[in-house]
Amino acid sequence: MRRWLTLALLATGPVLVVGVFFVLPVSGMVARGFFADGVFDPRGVVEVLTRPRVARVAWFTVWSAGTATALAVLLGLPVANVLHRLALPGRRLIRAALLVPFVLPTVVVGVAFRLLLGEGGPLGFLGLDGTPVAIIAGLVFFNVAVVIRAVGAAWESLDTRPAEAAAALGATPAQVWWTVTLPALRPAIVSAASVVFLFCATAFGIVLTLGGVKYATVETEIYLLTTTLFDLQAAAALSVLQLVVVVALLGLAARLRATPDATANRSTARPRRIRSGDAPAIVVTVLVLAMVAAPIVTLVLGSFRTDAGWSLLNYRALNHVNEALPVPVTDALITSLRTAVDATWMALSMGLAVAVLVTRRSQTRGERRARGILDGFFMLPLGVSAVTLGFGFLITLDHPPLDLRDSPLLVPIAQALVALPLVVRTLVPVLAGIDDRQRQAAASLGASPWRALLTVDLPVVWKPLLAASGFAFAASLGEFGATSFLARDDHPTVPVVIFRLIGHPGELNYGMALAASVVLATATAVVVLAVERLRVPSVGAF
Amino acid sequence: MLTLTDVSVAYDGVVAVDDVSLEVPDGSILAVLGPSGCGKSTLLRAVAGLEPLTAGSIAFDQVGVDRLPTHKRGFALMFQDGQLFGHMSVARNVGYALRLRRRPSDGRVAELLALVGLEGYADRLPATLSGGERQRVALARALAVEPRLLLLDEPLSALDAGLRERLAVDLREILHAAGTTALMVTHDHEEAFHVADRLAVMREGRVVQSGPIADVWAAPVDTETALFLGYARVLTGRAAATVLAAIETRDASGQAGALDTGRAEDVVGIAVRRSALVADERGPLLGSVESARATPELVRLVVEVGDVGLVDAVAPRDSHWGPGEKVRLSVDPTRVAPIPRI
Repeated sequence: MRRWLTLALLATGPVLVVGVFFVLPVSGMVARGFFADGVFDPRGVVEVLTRPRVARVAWFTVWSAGTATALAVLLGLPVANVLHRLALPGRRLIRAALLVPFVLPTVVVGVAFRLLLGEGGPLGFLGLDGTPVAIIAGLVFFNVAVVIRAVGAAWESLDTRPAEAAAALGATPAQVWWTVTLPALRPAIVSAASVVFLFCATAFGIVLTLGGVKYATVETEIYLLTTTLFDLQAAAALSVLQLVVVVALLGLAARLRATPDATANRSTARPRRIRSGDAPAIVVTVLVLAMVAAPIVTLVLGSFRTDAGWSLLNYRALNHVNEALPVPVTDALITSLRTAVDATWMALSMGLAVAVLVTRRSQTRGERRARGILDGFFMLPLGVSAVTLGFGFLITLDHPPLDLRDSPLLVPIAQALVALPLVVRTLVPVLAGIDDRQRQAAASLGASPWRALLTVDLPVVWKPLLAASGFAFAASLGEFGATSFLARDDHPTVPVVIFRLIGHPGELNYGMALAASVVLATATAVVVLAVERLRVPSVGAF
Repeated sequence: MLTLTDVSVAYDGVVAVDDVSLEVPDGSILAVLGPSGCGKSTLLRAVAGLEPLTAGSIAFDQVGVDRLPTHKRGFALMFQDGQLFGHMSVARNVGYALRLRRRPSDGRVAELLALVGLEGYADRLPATLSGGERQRVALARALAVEPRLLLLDEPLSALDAGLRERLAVDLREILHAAGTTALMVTHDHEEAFHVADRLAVMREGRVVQSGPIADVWAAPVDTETALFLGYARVLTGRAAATVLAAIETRDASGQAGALDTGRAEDVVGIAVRRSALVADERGPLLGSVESARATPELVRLVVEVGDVGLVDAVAPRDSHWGPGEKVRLSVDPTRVAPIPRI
């Protein structure tokens, strides 16, 4: 009985928060689709879903996400091998550098790719600007890091002896890969691929900046329908479609996710010396590095270029107001940082409670099921589009008792919900890895549950906790999907300002957008590199 | 025949294997025996091609294999814990090397499973097997393509004592039946004795003694080797002289003396096994019992003998001894070994 009470007590806070600030807005959004003038009427949804444009958008979403996922996996595998298995000089630095794109604000990446591929850009001659290729390249740029980290972590802790046994039995390196290594890595690859597909299919900022109106995914279409065409029913119908697909996918991913024996001693193999056979993998690594570096370098160079040659003009303009901006970018930066701090403590306290909740050992089958359901429940924000969430906030939290439209906490709450799954996924493997018998040993020596937590859990968990907060902070700094709905005009965050600037004509506006992008990218990169120094393996691995 | 010439292996400048030369003649089984951390596993991995040599060469039938990658050497390696592929059935594990070479595997797999005594296990998954069964499957898998050399890394260490002894005898029979040349490393001298024909003792990266197993056993090269081979104590000086004298009186009384101690000045000490001294009413040594402990086969004594000090001795199972009792002892020369001056 006491166990259930503790469980309920721990669960109440997070469940309430997620209930009010996630389930309520999202279901409010869904209800919009099914109820016309207060009457249940699913015909509207059916009508929307049979529109030819919707079919085109849905198909584009699926194939662009599918292609980007396949490319991210194909490019990520050799890089994971090189960076996690080979004694490559400077591999830690490269690993850290490759994590940066994953947390770069989507808007920044969009801007960087347009600069790289657009007219007059270094790769402008390819004529890729505004094509699906550009969108897919952007998606791969983002997500290759997810594959590298998730598969790399699994690869690094993979016992080398089965592969050696196969080699000793006469298997060539290729045969070892197909018959031993690949089967062992398959769970990690499948789970990484499903998460990447999810991210690609719900990508917003990058598709919006690179695809415009011509190439829309379900996510950007919801945005266009809501903000430009005011067709709320159609937007709601698409949200429902996305919700169904994403929940199905999450369920599939959970089933396929590797559940390694958490308490098992995972060995980390010594990095192997580089052989001539590693050349192709190293070439791919260099290629991926170049692919990741090119847009970033172009962006930084572009921000220093003005009509008058190289100068800091664009940066100096950041604290000025002009016709495109009611507030200077420096103010927006302060808003962004404040919001990120709030979002971080919210995500962290909720994430910690959730992680403790789902990793405690269950004594009965019912208890285990309850914990399993809670685990899935808190992963929901990962799969539901940030746009749906932001829009849901607008339409459900606008009347008493929950009139939060003008609350300064609205944006941080939405961002905390977006960051929640990242925090939970960082902490859960760490907490699950603590052998429960350690706590039992502490208890048997006379430690109270709190004392046991202090002696056993805290020393293991403080670093991942710090890493998770850094990660949540970075994610919040770059969050655009929900924030674009919720940020107030007089208090925009930096990604919102950047998007506004690139939407306005004018050389200086564009230059300022680049400069602001560089500032924002630097801030997130600094945070992420600091996190990487903590060397927590579960960061960024799902 | 496997020939190792002046082989050295170093990790980051730390020498793990230091200037080792060994030979394994065709059809024989060489055991490399040494304490953990002596470099024996590294040596095995170097032979398998899993560790690069820093110096020396490895040849098989006079053909150098140093430059060959593991999979082209034709040496099968069997790990301490088997390293069966968990996602394949027993039959698929055993047939793995055959499939790699695109040879028909069904008949051969059944034959191998029969050889290791696991008929009917073909469709089981490794996770459902006991430790001993897993090692048998690993052995069958290693033998499948008749490797020209079988490398065994502590093949029985992961098993419990009773099983280890039974499987050691089986292992020897299976290897001899297949005519396999084998190199095995172990830290357990009993395991080495049960399985191998030849022995090489390794310490701190060097081979300190090698030869046919009985020769090494009968004449350990130094004190540490003797203790590692299971000798209970090494006696020196006056104690050694007293025990040697006891053996000679025994020889003089007409009984067979098997110990060739050579010239006395070449011997620094003698190693005695726990059963080298036997309670014997007509024995030349006199001592008093310190403690006695009955085992299923005999009574083990610790005896204080003047001039010799504390020594182990054995008495028949049905005898009774209490602390302080006087006991006469004779020496079994087959259970003593001289330690030569270096």
